[in-house]
Amino acid sequence: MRNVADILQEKKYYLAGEYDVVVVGAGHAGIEAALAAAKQGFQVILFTLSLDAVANLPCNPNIGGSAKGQIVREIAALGGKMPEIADECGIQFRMLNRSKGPAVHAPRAQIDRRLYQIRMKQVLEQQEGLVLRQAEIIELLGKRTDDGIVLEGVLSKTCGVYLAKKVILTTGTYLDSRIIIGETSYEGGPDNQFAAKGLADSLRDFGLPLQRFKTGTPVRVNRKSLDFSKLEVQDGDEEPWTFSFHYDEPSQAAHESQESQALQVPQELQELHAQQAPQASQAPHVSRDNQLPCYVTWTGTAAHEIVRKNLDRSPLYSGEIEGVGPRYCPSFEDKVVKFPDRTRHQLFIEPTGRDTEEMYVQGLSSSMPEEIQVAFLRTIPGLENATVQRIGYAIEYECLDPRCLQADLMAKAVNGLYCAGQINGTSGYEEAAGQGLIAGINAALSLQGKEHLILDRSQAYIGVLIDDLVTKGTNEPYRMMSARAEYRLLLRQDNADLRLSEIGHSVGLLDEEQYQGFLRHKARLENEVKRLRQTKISPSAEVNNFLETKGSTPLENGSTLAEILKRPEITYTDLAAIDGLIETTNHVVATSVENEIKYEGYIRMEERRIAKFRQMEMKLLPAELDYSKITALRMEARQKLSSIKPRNVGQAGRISGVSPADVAVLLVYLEAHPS
Amino acid sequence: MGDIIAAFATPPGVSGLQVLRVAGEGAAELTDRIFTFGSLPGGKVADSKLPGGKVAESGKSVGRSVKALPGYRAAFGYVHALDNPAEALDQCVITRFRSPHSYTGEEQVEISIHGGQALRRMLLDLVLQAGARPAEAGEFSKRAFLNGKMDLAQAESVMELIQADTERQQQAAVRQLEGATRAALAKIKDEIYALLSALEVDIEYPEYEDFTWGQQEGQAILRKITASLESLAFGNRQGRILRDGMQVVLIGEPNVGKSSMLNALAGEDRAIVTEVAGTTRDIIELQMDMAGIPLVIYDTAGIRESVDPIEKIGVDRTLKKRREADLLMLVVSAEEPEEIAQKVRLLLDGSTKPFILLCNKIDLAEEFAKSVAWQESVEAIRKDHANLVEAILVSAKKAWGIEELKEAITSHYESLGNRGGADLVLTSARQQQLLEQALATFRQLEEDFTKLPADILATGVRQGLELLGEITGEDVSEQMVEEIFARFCIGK
Repeated sequence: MRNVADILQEKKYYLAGEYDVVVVGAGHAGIEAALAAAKQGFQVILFTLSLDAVANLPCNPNIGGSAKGQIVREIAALGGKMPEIADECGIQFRMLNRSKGPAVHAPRAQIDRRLYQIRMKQVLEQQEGLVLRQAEIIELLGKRTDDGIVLEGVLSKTCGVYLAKKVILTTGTYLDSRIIIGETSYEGGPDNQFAAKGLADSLRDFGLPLQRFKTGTPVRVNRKSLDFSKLEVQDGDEEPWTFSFHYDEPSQAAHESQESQALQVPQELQELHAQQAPQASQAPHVSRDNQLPCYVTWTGTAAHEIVRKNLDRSPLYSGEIEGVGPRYCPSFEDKVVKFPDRTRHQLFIEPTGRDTEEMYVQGLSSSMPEEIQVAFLRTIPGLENATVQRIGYAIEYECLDPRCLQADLMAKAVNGLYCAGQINGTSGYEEAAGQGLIAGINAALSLQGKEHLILDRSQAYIGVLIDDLVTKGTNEPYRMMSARAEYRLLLRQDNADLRLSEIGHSVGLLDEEQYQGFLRHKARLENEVKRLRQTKISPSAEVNNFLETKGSTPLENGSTLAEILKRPEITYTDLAAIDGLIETTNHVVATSVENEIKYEGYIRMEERRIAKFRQMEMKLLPAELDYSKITALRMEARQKLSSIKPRNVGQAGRISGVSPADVAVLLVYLEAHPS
Repeated sequence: MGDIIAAFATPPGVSGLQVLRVAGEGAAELTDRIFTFGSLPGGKVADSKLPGGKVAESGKSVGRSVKALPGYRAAFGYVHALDNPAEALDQCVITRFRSPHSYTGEEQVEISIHGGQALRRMLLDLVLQAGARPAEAGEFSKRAFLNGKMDLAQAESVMELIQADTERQQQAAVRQLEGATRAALAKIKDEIYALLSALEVDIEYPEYEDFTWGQQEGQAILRKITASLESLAFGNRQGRILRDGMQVVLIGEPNVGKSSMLNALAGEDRAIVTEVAGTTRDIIELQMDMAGIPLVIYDTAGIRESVDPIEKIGVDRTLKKRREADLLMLVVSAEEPEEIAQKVRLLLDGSTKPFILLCNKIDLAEEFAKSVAWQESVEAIRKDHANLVEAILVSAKKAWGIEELKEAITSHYESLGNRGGADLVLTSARQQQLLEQALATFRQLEEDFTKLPADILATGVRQGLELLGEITGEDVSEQMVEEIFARFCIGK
């Protein structure tokens, strides 16, 4: 480990700058981290290996999807940038899982990759207090002291020494990375970028545990070479939903209350409604007219046969690849080997931009030799004559065992060093951006001497993600899935702002205008839910006609709108037929109100579970607690607790190797030794 | 209501009294739902059963509650079915402890009831039904400690105790989960995982057409899971009979000699533990230990159409007891031999519970006993009722046939163990509760299936799975992720 004073003795090194925060890597994590810190008024420098690879989407050309879409909405609610630029650069928008219940509705957009990069780069360039700089950081600089390691700054390949109070590492898949295509392999990052050399050694030198992971990407083909007669078209949604939250202007809120149609709406509620809730909320001026389609096709036994015959040339099966790959996106050869009974695998052919013919073939990720990849491509309906533009490859890279991090994403052993994104063993743009945002917020909060921000498992998918990483670690690239969230009925995409925007505002990322819009929106939702609960409906012929057309049983006695909405066959907007104040145009309001009322019972149940969960989260464990002295703990528990250093009893209980009895022992210990 | 725990403070086994401790915020309110002040309801108590032949007033307890009772005060009353004082279980004394002046420092009630395994089991079930949960090992001590009821010097030993108790319990749990029962549980969990991962994979990867969740198929799987859990829970309940004792209910028309039958069984056996007066005109309970088999025998009101409202209540209770019984003893009179088959049908009233047919007063009809008519009517009854265990000629008065009866009870008890489906899967009350809760969860899901969207359905299935997972202590969410990828081939 070298320190700044020593290194500057050498003539070739020079002091290149002094910053509050240095961010290494301008991918999705680094961007959010740098913007979050700069927006809070700090001097930030963001390094990238190549200015032409800022905000790159080197794999799938989409943002969002199941659980990931929820994360993007959470980033929006907290004041991050990814959602806004994704909205702007989307070329196809789909709300997935619409038929499967509100908790799992998942927004996803195909992104114009090049446009996304250009837009994001400019956002960074325009940000006050932020320097975007092309340089490779090859070493961390610091000193060992009695109190541990003191981080001083970073060193660039071109001999610049950058002093920093905080360093955030967001190196993605670049650390000592290697590309593998069949028998060919070479050092390099995604999309023929350079690998980042040296930094991994520096991390080892700082005592941080590394592991080697692998991931991969499929072939890209030219749109003009596809046979569309054999492909099934998949169009986008017409409904103009967005990742970011758009609230009505205050001026729009003054609307003319419609006549309530012979229904007994209490006078004060009508007035309240008139004040708070505009009838039409044409929030964003979004058009969904000009979307690009995706296409579906299938592999067949001929392609599978080619894979099987050439397995000896697969680096995955020959032992050439050492890194652990993710099970959730297996390579094509993996699927063929592990599921020999399947006669077909589904493929999605996705556009990568408006100004390019290059198409991404989702489902065909492979590290087989180029010759083999081309051979099986030829057997796939619609792709028989496809022109290959980029071949699929596997990439191996170094990343951290994230258990060396605290829940605020700072390394336990190195004060001031934060890590976010794929360096923490995750996969996915959204997971990276979510972590980057939290790391950036926390670095800034720390500089201000404020309490760090930790989202818990009941607040956000981002909270689940980080808690899983720092508590359990991961032995493969970690992808967020809704099944990982215990309280997913509450972690919905529609209510991300209700969950997180207060926080986004308090850390200074949500601007005042956006925040005021949020407050208006919140009040409007609450009022509308209250109104539905209080508005009585009598069993008139009109009401019962309406119910019958919906296949619902007629009313015999009076009921409230809320009670009617609880019927599975009735939606919120349906109620417009019998109630003049229903919001028919604002789908966000409609969705949220509907979810709150329809799933009330389940939501209350979930809230009770959360209350129980929070009890344990509130029992804090002091960082300096010496577990080795608590002899009633089992040996394994003592070791695990010492190394993870959980911040509360709840987290302690989630560590593998800590039993419920150990948790009980900790509770007793805490009572016996009040700090 | 807070987290209320319950456990017996007295060890199982033969004793005159046993004490159930209920602790936690809301313990008094909980007790109020199952306890009524005063003596058992129904007007007069069967006077011969009370010392001194005293006639007790029926429970007049309006306005009195355990919640309002001052601390350290005991009250006389009886425990009964949840919110239903008419369904009496046993006379008892409760002691009220007010926070912080109790063992654990919380609101606490101690319920002293008579001895006996069956009563023990029923009271605990009742309290759990009212909202308590079974206490974990060392939990009373832990709570006492956490509430500052122990001094710091005791901390270490409490922690050691928790650890040791839990380990012992775990070992016990693992031991009892060996073999077929463990496999059965694993098989059910496997089915649930298959269902859940199919649901989850469709949520996680909605676009993959080959992995779209099939509703019809899902409903069939759910039905299968519920059925498997039902059979497991049934086997477990049978197993509990083996361990905790058998509930035997005597049923017959008035004056066929049911009470003398009870006396004959009791009188000859020196091992009577307690003899409790039940509510008037309906149920007399006799707890005995017959050659090592714990038994609770109920003498019920005679079944006949009655206009007397009090007697009617008695008959209703008889019917309820018949539903809860593990074994029925049908008593008919040998004086009316030609009506036996018809009486059996009436008394059973469609019940498929195993039963022993007792043809009483044989001393008054010795001719019949020796005739083929008896054999023929037994054959006829056996043909109609597969649940007939044994048909025995007895004279309760002269104690004829009582040994044969005891033998029949004993061999029926033993056969439970030999029949499939009588595995004592889980011995701890906590684990049994988990199994029953899981069963209830899946029954509910099956019922609501068509109404539930996938996310709620998956959440429900997952909660059911978590309950089963708790029995063996596994982490569902980790396992879930493993399952998805083990079963499906999806992704880029």
